[in-house]
Amino acid sequence: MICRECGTEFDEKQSEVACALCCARSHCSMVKCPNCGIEMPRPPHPLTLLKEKLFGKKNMGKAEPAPDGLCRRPGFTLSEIPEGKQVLVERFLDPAHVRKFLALGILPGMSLTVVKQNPSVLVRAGYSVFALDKALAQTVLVRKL
Amino acid sequence: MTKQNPDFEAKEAKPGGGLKQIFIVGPPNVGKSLIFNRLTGKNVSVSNYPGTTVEVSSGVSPNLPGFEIRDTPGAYSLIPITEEERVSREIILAHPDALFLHVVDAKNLRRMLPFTLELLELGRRVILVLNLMDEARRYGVVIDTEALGEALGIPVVATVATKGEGLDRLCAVIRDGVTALPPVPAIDYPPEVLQVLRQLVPSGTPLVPARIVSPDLLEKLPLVERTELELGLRLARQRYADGILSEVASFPAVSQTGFSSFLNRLTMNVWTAVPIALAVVYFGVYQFVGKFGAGTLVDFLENDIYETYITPPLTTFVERVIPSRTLQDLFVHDYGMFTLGLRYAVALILPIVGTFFLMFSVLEDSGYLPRLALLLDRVFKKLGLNGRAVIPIVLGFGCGTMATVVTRILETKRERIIATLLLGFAIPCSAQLGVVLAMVAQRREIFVAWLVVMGAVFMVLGMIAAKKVPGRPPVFYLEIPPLRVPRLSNVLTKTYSRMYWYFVEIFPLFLAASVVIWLGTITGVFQIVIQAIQPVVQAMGLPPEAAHSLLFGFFRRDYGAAGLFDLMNHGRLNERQIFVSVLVISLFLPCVAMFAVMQKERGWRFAVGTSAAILVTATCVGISANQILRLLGWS
Repeated sequence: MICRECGTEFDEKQSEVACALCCARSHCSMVKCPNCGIEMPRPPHPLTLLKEKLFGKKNMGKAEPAPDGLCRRPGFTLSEIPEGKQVLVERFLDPAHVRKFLALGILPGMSLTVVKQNPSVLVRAGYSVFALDKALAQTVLVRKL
Repeated sequence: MTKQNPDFEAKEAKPGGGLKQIFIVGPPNVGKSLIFNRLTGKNVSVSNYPGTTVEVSSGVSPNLPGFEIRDTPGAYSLIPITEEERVSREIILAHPDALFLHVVDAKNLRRMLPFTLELLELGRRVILVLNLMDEARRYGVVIDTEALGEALGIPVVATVATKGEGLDRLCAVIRDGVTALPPVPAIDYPPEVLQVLRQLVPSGTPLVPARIVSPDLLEKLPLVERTELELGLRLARQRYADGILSEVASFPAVSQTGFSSFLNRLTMNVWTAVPIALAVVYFGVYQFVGKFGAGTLVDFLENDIYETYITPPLTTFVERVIPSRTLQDLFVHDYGMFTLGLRYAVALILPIVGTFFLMFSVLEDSGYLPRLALLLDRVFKKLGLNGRAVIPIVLGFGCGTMATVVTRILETKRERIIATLLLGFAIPCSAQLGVVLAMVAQRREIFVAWLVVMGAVFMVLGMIAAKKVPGRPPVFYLEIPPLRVPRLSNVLTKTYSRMYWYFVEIFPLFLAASVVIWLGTITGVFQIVIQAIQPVVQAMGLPPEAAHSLLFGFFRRDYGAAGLFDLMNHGRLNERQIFVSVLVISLFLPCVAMFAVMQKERGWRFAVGTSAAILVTATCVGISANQILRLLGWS
């Protein structure tokens, strides 16, 4: 497949190298370009393609719904981190939501532990636990510790 | 490292009746109200803060002569997100000479200290109260309050409000008098931030961010710049706070918090949380409020006490003193002030609302509501709300009027509008619920059908509102406190103050409704109106007498419900009619008090428009339910 950002042609297997750093790789519908680190949806499985041909397209080949611009960045957001992992907050991707994080006291440079991903994202910061919905968690860019 | 505080903002500081004012400020859920109650003892009085309807409690303490203490809604910073935070901000700005007790959760001091710095920058006299010290100690947190106080230049007191620990010292510190203005912290703001600030104010103004940055000012900035500024300010304050704390406190890292406890896991896991929520509804609402409150207690108060000891002697007395039958009717008989208004308020509504508030306070203090919010967030998103809205919605089952005020905790105007709509349309309050449940409990099919239709109206209305009301879709974020065992004294205090509020707000309306009904009857206006709505009543397949009940429903839904209940008990309604009438009255207009609050919070257009829409919906649902059932052959 071809990276839509930098144009590098790569095999899906190669992307696993780039994904090796990630802790979410086992259940992720995205592939990462080994060159620039941009994420894009995994090309559909041949069986899925066949199904689509037979029964019509069902929204399957599409990427996970992500707010504007969020797909086109390297790194991971809070919503992609498996339960139990600790991360460092890098920055917030949507300025419209920053006030909420300020109110909760979640700031760049702070370490968080993901407690749960469902039904909402639960993170522990210090001695407190916060719930954030997926949409909000997707706007927090984090780094694995 | 500190500079002298210039006399700042000497605007209107009215010392309330010669008393020095103390405001308790701080984030939600750190025990502000508990400290307030501990300081003021039993002298809690709830009053409206001028210009708003959010309740700011005020009281005096026997230990603090000459001071008036006021509680404020929770706020995280001076930049408000929700309406209630706006109230707190306004209070802080309007009282430059007051003393502020900034109450924080000791273990989360790191996160909360920046707000203290903001208050200091603003030039306020502050005492920092490190509450919940017992929880902090359990985590091994050590804070040198003396050193912290020295670094900040203000008194710092550690307390455990639940046990009364440290409150004597707090009183002593207040009595000693905090007269001198504390120094302004010399926070090292990055040059970019200062540059933005400089553009915002006339040159020569000292660049103290907390005094410059106001929500109005921020609104003028483009979003990205505004965010950069807010983040920059907060990060600088956090660095300053961290700098102080690194020398005076230690916060050991913990891998496990109370969050891993068994019960906690059960309330957070979807598979176990749903049954738990259902159990809470069944035991809390159905058994305790429905069976015990609306059944046993009401029975006892109404039949054993009121109808036996109060109504007969009162009726005899009034009949003897007042010769005119018409005037007698104002006080006693079917719709008299004492026999209808007072009886409803005291014997019917009070026990139901009281048990509900008791249950609600237990849920609130146990920390269960945030978990329920987490669970219901996805459902609420479909209605254009977020999980946080469970608090007003659940409270709405107790009293819709109070719940409408509480919609202030929601962040966007859109959510507040949708929540108010739902409360007005589809959430029956406990008074009404008590009567309605008694009616539908006759047959299980009716109960289930009623539940289904009400649920459907709730969901459909919410989905329509989510589509039609303009604004951004909601986001959900909430601090989930650890589960705590509720303290009896605290639960009782909360229940008491809610019941007090209810009584003060609602009680006069009951009496007023009695007077209006009396006036309507003697002037003959009611007869005309009843004639006018007869066709509608017929279209719903109800007997003509039901028009009377529906008319009363205009004053209070539960008046109407009670009238229908009487009709049913006299065998005037068949099952289809019971179902239709219960449905109509459940969906009927909110009471006069709620209308008043809607008008106050959302404006005339909203209140009148909503009421009209509710009336139309209730009528349409009633008529179509009747037609459908008739086609199905259910009578």
